[in-house]
Amino acid sequence: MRSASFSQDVLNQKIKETLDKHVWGTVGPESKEAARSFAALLGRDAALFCSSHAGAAETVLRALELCHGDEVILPAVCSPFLKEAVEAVGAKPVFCEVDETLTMRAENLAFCRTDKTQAVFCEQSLGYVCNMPEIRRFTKEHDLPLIDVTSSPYATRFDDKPTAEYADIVLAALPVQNTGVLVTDEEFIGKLYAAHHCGNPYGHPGGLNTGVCLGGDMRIDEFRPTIIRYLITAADERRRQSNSLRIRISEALLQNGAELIPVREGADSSGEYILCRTSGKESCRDKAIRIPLRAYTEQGRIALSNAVAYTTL
Amino acid sequence: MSKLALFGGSPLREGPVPAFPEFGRGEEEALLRAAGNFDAGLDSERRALEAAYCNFSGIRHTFAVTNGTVTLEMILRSLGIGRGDEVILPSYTFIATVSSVLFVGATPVFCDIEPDTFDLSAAAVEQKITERTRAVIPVYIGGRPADLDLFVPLCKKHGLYLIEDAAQAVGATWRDEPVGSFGEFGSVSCQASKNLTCGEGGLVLTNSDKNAERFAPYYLGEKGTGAPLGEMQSALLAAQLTRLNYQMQIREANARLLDKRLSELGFVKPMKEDARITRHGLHLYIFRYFEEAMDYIPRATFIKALSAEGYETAAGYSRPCHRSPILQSDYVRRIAPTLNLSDEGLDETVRAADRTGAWFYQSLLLGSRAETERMADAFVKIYENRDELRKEIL
Ligand SMILES: Cc1ncc(COP(=O)(O)O)c(C=O)c1O
Repeated sequence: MRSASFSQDVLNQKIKETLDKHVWGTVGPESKEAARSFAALLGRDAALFCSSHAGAAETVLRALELCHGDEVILPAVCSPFLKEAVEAVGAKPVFCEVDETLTMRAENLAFCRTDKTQAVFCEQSLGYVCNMPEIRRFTKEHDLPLIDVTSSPYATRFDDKPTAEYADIVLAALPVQNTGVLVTDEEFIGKLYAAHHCGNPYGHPGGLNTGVCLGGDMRIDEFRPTIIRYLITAADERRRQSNSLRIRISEALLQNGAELIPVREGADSSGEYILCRTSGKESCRDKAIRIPLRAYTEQGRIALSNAVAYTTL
Repeated sequence: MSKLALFGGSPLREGPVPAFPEFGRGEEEALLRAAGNFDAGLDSERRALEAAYCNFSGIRHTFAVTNGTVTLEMILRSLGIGRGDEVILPSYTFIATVSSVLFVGATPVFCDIEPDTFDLSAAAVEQKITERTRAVIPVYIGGRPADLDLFVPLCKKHGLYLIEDAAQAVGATWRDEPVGSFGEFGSVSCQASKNLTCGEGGLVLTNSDKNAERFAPYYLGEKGTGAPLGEMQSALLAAQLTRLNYQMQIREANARLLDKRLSELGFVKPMKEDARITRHGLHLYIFRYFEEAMDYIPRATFIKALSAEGYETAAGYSRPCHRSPILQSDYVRRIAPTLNLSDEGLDETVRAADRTGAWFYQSLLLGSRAETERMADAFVKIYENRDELRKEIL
């Protein structure tokens, strides 16, 4: 998440300013401003910060009013917090197979859907990009909300559009102390807010127990948004850097005989990770990073065990 | 007789409302130290905070997590409470206590409070126990521990888990033992308004090694949707913890003064004294208002007059949870089809909510002794001006 344009001094100054305001939490000005910038970055109406990735996932599921008896489609290789969140609300996760980019195979969605399916989560695993137009077509056809899970929402693109644009809700899992951010449109933000907050409805000025929010209370403090706002301003620079790093590392890997797993046609990876086929080159594994994903089906396990990921961060 | 501030007279308050949270170099240094390491996965600040809280309170295990709602949800999950189970709790609480029970798929069962403490009534709880009851959550309203001499044996007798919602009771003790040490777990909120805060945060407390072990995977995010507290907030909270003891002493002294002064008046009453509460959390200073002793001036009018004097007063949980419209939603009905939202058996809850309950927030108790005297004077001033105040209603 760090870039050359990142200055700890500037950040420290901003943190001190936040401290001085005496408002350290409960949706203060820093989180509101960071939410506005984040939504604007993705061309959406509104965003909401959550205290953790898992908390953000639970908030979405609550806002969609899911519980026991419902099913949610997840990629067979995904961040474990997604599965935990689905199970936490009492719903059943149904895993859709992935391809070698470790992202969901859109063609397999049809096998996963039942009359209990209530939502589809896709995940841009390790910065690799799903076939968003196909997944979108499927969810539209069946009137299912699509949630795009990504750690680089400003960088994963398909057909020159951010993957965020294909989805009803974006769940950005940021590496800043586990922060989750939900991005969506005016239509849905009120519901997300009510599931996120304990107190007042969206836009309400004050008062306790107004009675309309059930509230998982996933609000964040005012210090993390300070960092996030600062990183947003450095997003373009960061993208350029990681793209050039990706090219350099890819070339080096190719020279060493590695077989790179290409991004899907039409997709633009965030470049955070480079996936290679292991194909017997066990030495590659030494330099590989621990992949923060888990496989939930046999084919998912095979795909995951055949891949080695290198970070460009 | 001086004119009420509500009608243009001078307010009794002289100084500014004490700024809260207090902070200084320690907080700044802690934050900046942790801000240099904001990547997830680090835990040295959090571990230091947890050790510091154990040391401060005497509790055996502390887990710092993201807020005081997730704490309850994770506690319930780690105890295996879920669909089909009932959990007894007060309706006179913040909605988070109720939502945490619904979030694990269990059914909240609302139970009445004691009229002179506003804490859950152990006698009323006993009436609500069924074969589906798995846990009882007394909420330590305003920082006041519930009657643990009754709750501990009651839960034992019926084989129920006791979960202490000490969201508002950080630092409180009962017979010199810390809150969180009586039940399976205690849950503390470190949200912005609380006495120990880092903006948003929560602590899970337990004295039991076995519970600590079963809680660990939930805390680390391996199971459920909880997450450990971030490094910056942990560092900030640890710095704030060093202030808690002296702040508690100031609040305690001022609350004693208010108790004494208010007990001399007929139209308000402080909450019942109880020597077994060796330390009151004092997140709120709660008192009761009796309109019949004040020429039937409604509570809302009295609160307006008191607030105008510079002592912001709230009517407390004027909508108890069982009357919350969100609990009537189809979604909640799907989760808990047997949820009972009637007023029946909740007489004291309804009385506190509709008529008698009133409170000051903790930061008002951080003022000087002279300011606290003036705070008590404001009650007298309003009483003396009650005829004029009546006109406000007409
Ligand atoms: C009694 C009670 N329980 C739970 C909570 C929830 O705590 P948090 O706001 O940290 O989620 C609160 C917070 O106000 C509370 O007062």
